[in-house]
Amino acid sequence: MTTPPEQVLAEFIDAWNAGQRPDVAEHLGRVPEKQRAELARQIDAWLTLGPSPDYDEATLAAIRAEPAVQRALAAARLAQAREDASLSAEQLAQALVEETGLAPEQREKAGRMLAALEAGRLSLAGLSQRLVDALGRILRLPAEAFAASAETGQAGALAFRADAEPAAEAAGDLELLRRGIEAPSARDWDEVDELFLGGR
Amino acid sequence: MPDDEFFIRRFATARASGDAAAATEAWNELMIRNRDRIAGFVRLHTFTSGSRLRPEHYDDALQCALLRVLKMAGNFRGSTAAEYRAALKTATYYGCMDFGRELMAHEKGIAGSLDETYEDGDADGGRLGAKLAQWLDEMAREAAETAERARSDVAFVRWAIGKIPNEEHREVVRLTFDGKSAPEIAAAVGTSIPNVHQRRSRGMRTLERIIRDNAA
Repeated sequence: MTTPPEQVLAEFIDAWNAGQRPDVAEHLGRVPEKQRAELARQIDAWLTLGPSPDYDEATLAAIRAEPAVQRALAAARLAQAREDASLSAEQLAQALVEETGLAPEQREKAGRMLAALEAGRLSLAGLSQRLVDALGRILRLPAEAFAASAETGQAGALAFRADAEPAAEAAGDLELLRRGIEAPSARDWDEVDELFLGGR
Repeated sequence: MPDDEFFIRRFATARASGDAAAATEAWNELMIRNRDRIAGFVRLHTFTSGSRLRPEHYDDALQCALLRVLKMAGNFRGSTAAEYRAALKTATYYGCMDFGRELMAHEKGIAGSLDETYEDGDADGGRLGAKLAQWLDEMAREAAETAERARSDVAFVRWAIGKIPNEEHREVVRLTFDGKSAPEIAAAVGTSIPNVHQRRSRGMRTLERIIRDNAA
């Protein structure tokens, strides 16, 4: 039995205002397919103008600790610091090579890794202390700029994953897959990988 | 607990006084407090083809959107929470489009990998590097458009709420957007909670129709 759309909308708004962090997709899934587009437009209107919930400190702390939030904040800090230092992406890559003693031919890959970091594409847990220290010296950034307190078990992996919980029966297989993805390949793993993906 | 308006004022004041660190701190706090709103927009995003994001892509699209929002700070000239929220919506739209382009490129196999080497004569250094550099440039350009569009969007929706013909529905929608809960609205307008739910749903439906019919 499905819930009437007006009740679903009402429950979404009330849960939002109460700081219960309602899930849009879950609410849309509670109405029949043919009513979903209209409910989506109503929720969209609410999200466009409705007030922010009065979150408690624990909720705000949980949001701050989300990997996606941390990566975005770190990426924005890096971009701002590079701009403040008047360095192009290539100049920063060159400075990093000099600061860390990487071989000159590794500058290109280091540049791509820096671009990925600035685009929020790298797990902060994968960044080595050596890299954090070097960027700190070049850009005068504190080590906390790349804090990764909530990111665990992602070293070596690019940050691509789903947020849905895996079914219990698939969890073991997924864990094996994750370990396989994260295990560094002895053949391809180089010093730049160690710097950006090796962890602290 | 400080609200969005508080952090917008703090952001504007810090920026006006040249305190970049304080402005950034206030802007980041706003993003954190609106993370769920951004995530909601991501889940509702519709591509021009009419398709929505697949659940397994929500996190990555959210990542793009969060970065867009943070990059918007330099161009935001609004002074109200409503302007900020409208700007969030536009920034999220662009973030989802970023992700869509990235996904399409990845599926077509043109995104390359981080191990790809430079091609001869490729001054930007590799296809992925060039793609990311182009994306960052586009983001900066579109951030300026985002802030400007936000101002007109807010004024438009405010106008649309005023156009809801049924007075009871209009009042319930207005109080809803003021952050009042159903019991508070029921007490304010002197009706039952189920009646508030019904008026709110009908009012929102009318509001959505007015917006759709008048969006040029």
